[in-house]
Amino acid sequence: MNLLEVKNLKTYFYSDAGVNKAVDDISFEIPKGKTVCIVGESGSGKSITSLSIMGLIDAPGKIEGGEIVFEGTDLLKLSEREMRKVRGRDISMIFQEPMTSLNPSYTVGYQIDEALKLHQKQLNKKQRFEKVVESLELVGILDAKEKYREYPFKLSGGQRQRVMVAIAMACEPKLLIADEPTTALDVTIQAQVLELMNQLQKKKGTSILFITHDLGVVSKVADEVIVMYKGHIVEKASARELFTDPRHPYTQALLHSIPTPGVTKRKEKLATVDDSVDYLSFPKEIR
Amino acid sequence: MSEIVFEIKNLKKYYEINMGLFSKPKIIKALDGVSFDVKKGEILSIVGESGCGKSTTAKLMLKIEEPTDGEILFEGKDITKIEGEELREYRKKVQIIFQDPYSSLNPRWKVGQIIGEPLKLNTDMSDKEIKERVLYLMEKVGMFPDWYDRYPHQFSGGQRQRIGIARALALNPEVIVCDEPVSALDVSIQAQVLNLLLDLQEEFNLTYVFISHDLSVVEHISDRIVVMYFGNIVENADVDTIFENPQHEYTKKLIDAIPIINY
Repeated sequence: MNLLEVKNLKTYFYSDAGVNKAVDDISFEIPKGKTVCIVGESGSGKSITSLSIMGLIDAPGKIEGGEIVFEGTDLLKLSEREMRKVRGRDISMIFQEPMTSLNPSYTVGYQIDEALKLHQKQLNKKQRFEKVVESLELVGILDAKEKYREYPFKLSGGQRQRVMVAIAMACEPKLLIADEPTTALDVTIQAQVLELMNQLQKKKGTSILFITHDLGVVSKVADEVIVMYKGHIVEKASARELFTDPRHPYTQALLHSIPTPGVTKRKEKLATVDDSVDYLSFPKEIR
Repeated sequence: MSEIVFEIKNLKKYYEINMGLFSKPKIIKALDGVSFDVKKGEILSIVGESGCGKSTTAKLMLKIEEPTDGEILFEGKDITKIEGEELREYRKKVQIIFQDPYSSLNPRWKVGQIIGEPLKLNTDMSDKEIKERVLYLMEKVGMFPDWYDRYPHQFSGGQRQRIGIARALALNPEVIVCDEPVSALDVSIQAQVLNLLLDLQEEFNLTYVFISHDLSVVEHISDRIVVMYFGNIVENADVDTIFENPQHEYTKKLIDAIPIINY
């Protein structure tokens, strides 16, 4: 069963210099309880895809066509008012920068509580407090009751990112969009946050759309992988297929450009993505 | 035995943090007694997580900051004590490539000016000689001559990093400290810059002190690795030992945490 189906999505940006087709006719599905990864380099359109799903594209950007079907409803046809109910309750998002995406002037607890206040109106204050503490504990923050009253600046990067996960998970969304959630973190903390998301998925059956440029991370979390290049999907496959048998020349170049301990020879030339090759001229590999 | 360029002995750097009018200042021990050598012609990597002291070490080696205690011997001379003409000579021999190619280049200057500035300040070369040298350096780092008159904003991150590399090479340094030179770049661009750094090292017989948190990159390019944790060195060994037979618990934890593709 698919939770989300993106069909022929086109998101363009307009400027004096012309049209930038940031996302140009892409289609994919996110099955229930699975993790789909979008990989690609800067400018490939991966973040714009996630913002399109969240309905957060602003001028000069515009969604020019396609459908984003979430549980049978086309999100693009919803009014801003209706979309606001979906955001945070059904679909929520974790942003890349834990240092800047929390509000510095509110306590951590308040910011998680805010999501509950908006979307779970049946809960009273005491129930919400318990739920916030519970969600902080769920993301592995010890002494959650004390941390409830702390301001973000007192927390480390890893703790802030856990708080972001807690906010995103507070209303138990059906779909979690994580845009480079671990890129700003140290490797050992990254491993913890990835494990945490994995556990939450198992417990709650959440579907995850994971956006990253790090293929190592992809191999740890993905069920399905989508490779984007200049606004297009060039390859789509299960994680196993993609890593054992990459078919599109761009995917192959990308995979070979990463130094991998035990695979790439030390100090030997790494493969590079060749600027002179038009990778879009090759047939797309959609499996 | 190969020659030792840097000998770092018991290096300490403490920062005082003011905790308010009536409280004692808090002391942060960014570096707490660090000792290691850098041999001529090697790539020595310093790895560790945020706050472990790797960038502080780089700052002290470049004499951007002064240590609280300890010695940094460069070719036998303690650079923590030098000044004036001697310091100028030292600055020519040890250069840096910065992490962020977006903030480390002056946006109002043209590429030619940026790369030529060290030559203007430190040599008595004529403008014509400087231009020739800049064009030579641009060729070495894989840039076209007609980029000489362009501005940094006209380039992508990878190209900008090439400008920074050309600038670091301008004075024919012996040692280049590379502070996370590829961590802001896309993987395919990262591969290009790593290839370039390795080529240049061979051609100009350079010594690199490579600071990074990315162990996959470090494994690829290093001869030797120093692992730091909270201001101390926990392990210092050649790359094979670190990856195949790590001794310290923290090194093991760090290596286990690398997301490696395996199917």
